[in-house]
Amino acid sequence: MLQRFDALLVRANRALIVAMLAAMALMVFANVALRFTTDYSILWAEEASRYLMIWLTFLGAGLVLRYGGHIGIDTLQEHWPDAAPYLRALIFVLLAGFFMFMMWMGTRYALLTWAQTTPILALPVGAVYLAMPIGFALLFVHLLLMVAPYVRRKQFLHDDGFDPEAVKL
Amino acid sequence: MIAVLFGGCVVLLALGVPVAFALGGATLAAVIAGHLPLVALPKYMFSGIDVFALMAVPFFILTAELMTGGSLSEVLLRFASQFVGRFRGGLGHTNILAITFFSGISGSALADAAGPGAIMIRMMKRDGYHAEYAAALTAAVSILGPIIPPSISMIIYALAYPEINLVGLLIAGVVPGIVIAIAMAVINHTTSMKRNYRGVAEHLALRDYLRNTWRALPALVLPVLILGGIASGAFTPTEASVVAVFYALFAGRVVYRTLTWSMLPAILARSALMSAAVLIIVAMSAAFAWVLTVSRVPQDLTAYIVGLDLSPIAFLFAVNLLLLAFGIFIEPLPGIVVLVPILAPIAHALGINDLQFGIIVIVNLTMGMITPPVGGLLFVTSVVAKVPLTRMVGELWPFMWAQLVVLVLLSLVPGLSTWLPAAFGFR
Repeated sequence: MLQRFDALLVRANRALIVAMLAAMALMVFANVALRFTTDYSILWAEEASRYLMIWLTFLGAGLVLRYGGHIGIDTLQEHWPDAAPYLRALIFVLLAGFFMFMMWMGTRYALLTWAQTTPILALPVGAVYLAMPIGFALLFVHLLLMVAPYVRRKQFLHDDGFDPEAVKL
Repeated sequence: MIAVLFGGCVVLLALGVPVAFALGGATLAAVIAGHLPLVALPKYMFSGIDVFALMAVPFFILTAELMTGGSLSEVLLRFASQFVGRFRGGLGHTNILAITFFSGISGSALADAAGPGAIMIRMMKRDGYHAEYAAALTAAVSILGPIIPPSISMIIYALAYPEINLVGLLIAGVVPGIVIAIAMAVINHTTSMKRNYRGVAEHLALRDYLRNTWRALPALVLPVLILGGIASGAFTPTEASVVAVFYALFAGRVVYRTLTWSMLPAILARSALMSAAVLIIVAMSAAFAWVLTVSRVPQDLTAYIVGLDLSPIAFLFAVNLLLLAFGIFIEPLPGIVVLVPILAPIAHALGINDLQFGIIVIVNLTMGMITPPVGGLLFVTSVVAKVPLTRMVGELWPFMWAQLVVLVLLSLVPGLSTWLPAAFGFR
């Protein structure tokens, strides 16, 4: 049951960020093409693509966590293999606390800004900013789903298409 | 407050908390300790990534992935090989030249190592080069990715220090990139002479040259399109990045026909994940930078160091040592977001050219990717070459020395970084 939910969550999360990146690219490209050919540009495309990038960032962060793609310094864990599971348990607790706090803070901020509207699309600003509480909720869920293999063996979800080393610039 | 910010950051990073959340967590602790408004935290995290210019990051990542997925690397390799392949150490030179070209398309070092780099390591091994040497050479040359434009590091740098002109910085990377490529070629030449790594024995007729060049032309257009478009002002960097995405798609699908539609979801997913990993750090660091500004530490530190009456050269050398020490443990991106808001204003106040300083910081921090124990590039090339990281270290030394020499040159000769952008009107 939990496994089915997990697999479904990963697949849906993945499909969502793929669609977002594709939409961003299409919108920005359409705008450049229009500017070169007709001198006209879609005003809302710039705003919409920027907001999509915000959503991509927060909705993608949880999945990156699952794959072990967030860069960090593992020197201590490598030098001290006996203590490593305890260190990772501590990291888990710290991350869980931070994610929960940011969920709460993000919700408050979204509510606070709900009455304002965005300049072109006239969306509630708070709706754009919902990306943060939803993103941190996702991070929290992904963290809970990965905790046992991560703390015990530093094992992440594996994906043939994504090399966690690849995010280092 | 500032002690909590830096202390918290160091402790969290040392524990192994991911960089993004170490920055976020330390900022949260400092905000509480300094009785600052908590609501400012989400506010600055959003404003850090609600930036149109930042969209070039996901698009340049996507471009490099499309180019690699469409196996354009092979075409570039064949093109590079016909010029330098026959010399002693020919495959090594081919590797250097191909990665230099590819750096004009990709904005990250890892994309260089994982794209043309991985193919070259296998070819060099097959041709009798030591696997350790092939892996070390590839890692060392791959640092060109963020130095030759486009560059994700430079886009982030311009966000961390908004006074700099991003277009100027991008152009400024060209000459230093070529100098580093030449330095790597010198090391490859001397090593190949000593070990007798032979060249590729193939006789090419003029017809072959023309055919290889014709085949490579669609791929070679891309660096010209990106750099030329940005430098001439026809495109902003973001526009150039999205044009590059669709050009790479067109070249891979229509011209070379190596890219299939079924490959797209995986390429998009990989690019989206890489983008999210980078952008979440940018978001968290924006809040971090805000606390830093409120604390007035950068301003006070600037006043203090300017008061010391240091010569710009002395300051540059001190910064280089600091960055080298940082680079051993820290990847370039976190290094840029944390250190640039503090160091760049000081350099500016001392009269150091912004573009020269930017190049020094980026070259230096990127070199950190080939210094053990935590060098992102070393992991990738050692896996591809199937040699343990520790055995690569000996082969790395000559390359690291050569890069250090280039770094000293870049510090002593501002013109290397400032001449080309000045020719385009950027100072």
